[in-house]
Amino acid sequence: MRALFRWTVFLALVVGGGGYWWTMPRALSVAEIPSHAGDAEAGERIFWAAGCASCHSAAEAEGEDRLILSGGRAFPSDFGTFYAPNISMDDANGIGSWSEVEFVSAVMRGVSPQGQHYYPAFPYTTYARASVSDIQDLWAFMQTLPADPTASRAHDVGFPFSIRASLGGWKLLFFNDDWVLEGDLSEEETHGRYLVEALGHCGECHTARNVLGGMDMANWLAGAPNPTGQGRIPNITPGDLNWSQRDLANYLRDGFTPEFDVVGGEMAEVVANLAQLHDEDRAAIAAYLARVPAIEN
Amino acid sequence: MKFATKIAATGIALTMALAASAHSDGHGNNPFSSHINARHGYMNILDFNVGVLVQMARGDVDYDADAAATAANNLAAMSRVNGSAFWAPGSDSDALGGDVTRALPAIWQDFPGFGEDWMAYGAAAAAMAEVAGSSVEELREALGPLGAACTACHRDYRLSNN
Repeated sequence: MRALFRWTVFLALVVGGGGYWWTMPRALSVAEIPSHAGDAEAGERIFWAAGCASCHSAAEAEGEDRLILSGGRAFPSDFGTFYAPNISMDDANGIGSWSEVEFVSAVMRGVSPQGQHYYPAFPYTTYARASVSDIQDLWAFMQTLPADPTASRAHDVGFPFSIRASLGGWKLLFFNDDWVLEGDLSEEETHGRYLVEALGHCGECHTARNVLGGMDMANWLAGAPNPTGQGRIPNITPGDLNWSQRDLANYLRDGFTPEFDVVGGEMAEVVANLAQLHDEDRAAIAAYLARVPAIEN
Repeated sequence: MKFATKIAATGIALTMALAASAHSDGHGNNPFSSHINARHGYMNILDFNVGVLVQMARGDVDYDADAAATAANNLAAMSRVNGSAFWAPGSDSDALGGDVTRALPAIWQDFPGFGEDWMAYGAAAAAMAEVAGSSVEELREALGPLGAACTACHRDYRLSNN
């Protein structure tokens, strides 16, 4: 009996250990990323396209204040409430002491410099599709932004999601950096795909999720319940969104719909970011959205 | 019946039918439907006038100083409408459903904040009215703050699209 117990414990350790090894956080090493001198000016465009300020600026921040990445905004979900951390250049409370490769690992692998998995509320599953040199440019730009000493607030997440090691299993199931929209795309549509699928993380809100929080890829961009519990995030596939590409590109710049209603809700933050891009970027996003499979719901 | 009389009679009949349907709209199961109709009508008038300015700012329509000034003056005048009666407590999206109204309960939980946003819209509309008839460049510059004022309120007090 005692032998059986010992064997059970032994096997549990092997299976558990193997599972842990299989799903453990793997940061990138310097050798794995290209040697590229980050270009802060190019990085600013990545910063706005990737929407960093929407989550990491202080709540209600507007204008220049959106460049102070002190964190603190709350993001309710089925798993608990996540609080965006301080990612300003403060050495103690922000990410000012990070190296470039630590930053790239965080953004593209979801692994912290301490070797822990990040929760996918941070859309690294999207950023994984970005080109590393763009993220290096982004890092160069972020280093030009101010430091803020606000301490990050701990996430309010219940068991078992409070165990970060469990996120390794989540990543195994749902972390996939293949393009969602495959096929023959024009140059403009390909640029739009990069902006939507690799930087803009539109799918994070506009695609519904399963019970484990993985995206329902069969319903890509077809709308989802709003995690705040109020209203719905709209379907932006051609199955529902019938705006012209020109109307859509204009909306992403100035926030006015074809009926001259104005953007509201969380999308107001998105338009504030996309307004900083170039006209051809917004036109590319509109061209991409016209190619996404139409889903009616 | 003379032709003119016939037309007049048809007109009156139509008007009455319309009035009757509007009346029945106002007295369904929802005690606030006339309030909500008033709010939607109010917003539609804003949208129309904002649209005149947006189309000129985007260059989709040629700049017309008179039309721009008229639209901007309308927006400024609308900001002075006292809407306190149609923003009645209890007429929110939780109570009536998001398909009936997108007015969030937050409006009544934070009525002073809602009022501040309203005042900010008034200030932005007044600033627009001062310049809209002068040049398209000034119009374009004033449109940013005007749109931002609309968005500020819609971000906090209007239900996300459904």
